This record gives sequence, C-alpha cells and structure tokens, in this order.
Amino acid sequence: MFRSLFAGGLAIALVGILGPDAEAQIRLQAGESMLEQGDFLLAPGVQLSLGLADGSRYRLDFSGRRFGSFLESTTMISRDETLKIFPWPEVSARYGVTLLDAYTSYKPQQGKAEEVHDFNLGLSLGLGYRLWQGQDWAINAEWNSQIFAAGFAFLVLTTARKTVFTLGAEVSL
Amino acid sequence: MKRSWIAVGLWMVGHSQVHAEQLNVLIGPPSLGQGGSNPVSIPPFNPVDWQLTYVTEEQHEWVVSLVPGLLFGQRFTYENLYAALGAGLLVTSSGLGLGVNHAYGYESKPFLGKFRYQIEYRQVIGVGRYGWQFPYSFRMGVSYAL
Repeated sequence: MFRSLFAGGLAIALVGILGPDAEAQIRLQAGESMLEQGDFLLAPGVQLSLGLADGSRYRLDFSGRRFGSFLESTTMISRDETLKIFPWPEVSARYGVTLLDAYTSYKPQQGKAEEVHDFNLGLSLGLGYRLWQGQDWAINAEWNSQIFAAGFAFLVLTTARKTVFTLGAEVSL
Repeated sequence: MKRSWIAVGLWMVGHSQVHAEQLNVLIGPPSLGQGGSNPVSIPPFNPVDWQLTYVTEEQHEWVVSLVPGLLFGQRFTYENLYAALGAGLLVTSSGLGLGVNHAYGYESKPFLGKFRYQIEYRQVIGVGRYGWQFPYSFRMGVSYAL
C-alpha cells in the first residue's frame, strides 16, 4: 500500500512536470545539503530540484548512511510554490507538500534480513536566499523544513520535523 | 544586494504595511532536540508549551517563550498569512544559545470583535555551548488586537 502511495506521488509529480500546462522555461538545481531530523545532528545529503516558470517546483532531498549491518536513508519528494511575502527579490518563501520515505534495513551476516519503509505526508515550508545570479545561473541557499503529523498524536500537537539546509547551483533552460 | 539594503532601511523607518498592535497567546509543544515534539501537557500547565508574542503596529514582534526562547523580529503579511524573520536568545535542552529564527503563520478572520484564531510554525537555527541547535515549535492559539 505504501509503495503504491509512493509511486502515486511520483506519478503526480511527473504529470505536473510533463503535462501540457507546464511552461517551457524550467530551472534545474543541484546542491549539497545537511539534514537535521529533530536531534540537532547534521547528516550530509543531496538535493535536486526542477522549477517551472509558474513558480512551482519539484524537489528531491536524499540523505543516507551505512553503519555495520544497518542501512538507513531519508528520501523526500516535495512540491512547493513561492509565496510573495518578502519585499526583497533575493529572499523567497515557499510552501508545499512533502512525501517522506524513511528507510531502514538490517542485513546481518547470519540470520534473517529485515527492512522497513516509513512513509508520511507532510507540510513543506522553506526560506531561500539568492546569493548570486548570472544570466542563466544562480547560487541559492535554502532552509527547507518538512513537518509531519505524528499519527493520532497530532491531536495533541505532536509533530516530527526534518530540516534541510542546502547550497545549490541553479541553471535556467 | 543593494536593493535588499534599501528595503531593509524602508521597513526600519516604518514603511511596512500598518496593522493593529496585537498580542498572541499560543500553545503547543516545542522540539528540544530529542526527536520530534512531545504531546502538549494535559491539563496545559507546563510553561514550556506556551508562547506569548507582542506585535507592534509596525509589525515588529517580541516573542517570549521558554522554547525556542526570547526573540525579536519583523513580520510580513500576505492576506491571512504571515512570515517572520528575527533573532534572539534561544533555549533548548542543550542550554542557552544565540540564533536566528523564522516563522510562518495563519490568522483567521476576526471573531468576537478582536480575536483571531492563529496557527504558527517557528524554528530557530543557533549555536550554544554544545554546538548547533535547531529547536522548533508548532503552536495554535489566538491573537487579540490591542
């Protein structure tokens, strides 16, 4: 079921990107990022994003590590849009939704291997700053936060949050 | 970059959109760096869950809370949404620190005269004695136009 949900999210994103309403001009961005998951620890990651001329953007954030028999990764696919709320063109506010896959696998040398995917749908809120802009290129610093409801505990306002700090290079095509 | 500094100067002399002075009273559990947030206290007597914000007519905000801390900033509004940028003294389970913060919030239309329902996400990036700290809070409450 969760795999279907994940595939569905990907399909929605692709339809949005490749659909007939998509504008001709697109912006591609690739960057290095640091991921924080509520524990004040920073994990290295990567970010790829594709922005359309209407201001919408599809973003992939990934971070993972292997330690011993364990492999864990965090993958987030987000769709966000710009909210024109700041008076400075270099500073941007973004909002959208995020689909999360928190994956952990355990593969011992002997014994049964196990793996688990935890999926969640959350709110994406971001703050960006354009450090430099050329004719087709730009360098951006971003602070994106993904907030997730902690199941039924959200009734008592319990949340989880994943923050991504990114320094990325963007090209307009 | 030059335009940015001009814009900063403009709002510092009170050029930002004028709104009523208001007091915000919000409740919600903060995240202290031990994973996500805990449930809000029931009954809600734990002071760590509360946040008071005083917003001036120039949309300067003064945030008073145990977590993320004592903050000063500037609000920007777009219809019923607002964003805030600021800095101040942050407080977490790792102790005190200094940091910058930003917040996004929603305010409903007025009810009972001067009240508005409010929901806010606020987070800080700062540094303290034990390194980087990233507390955040997700809170709901009311604002009262003074």
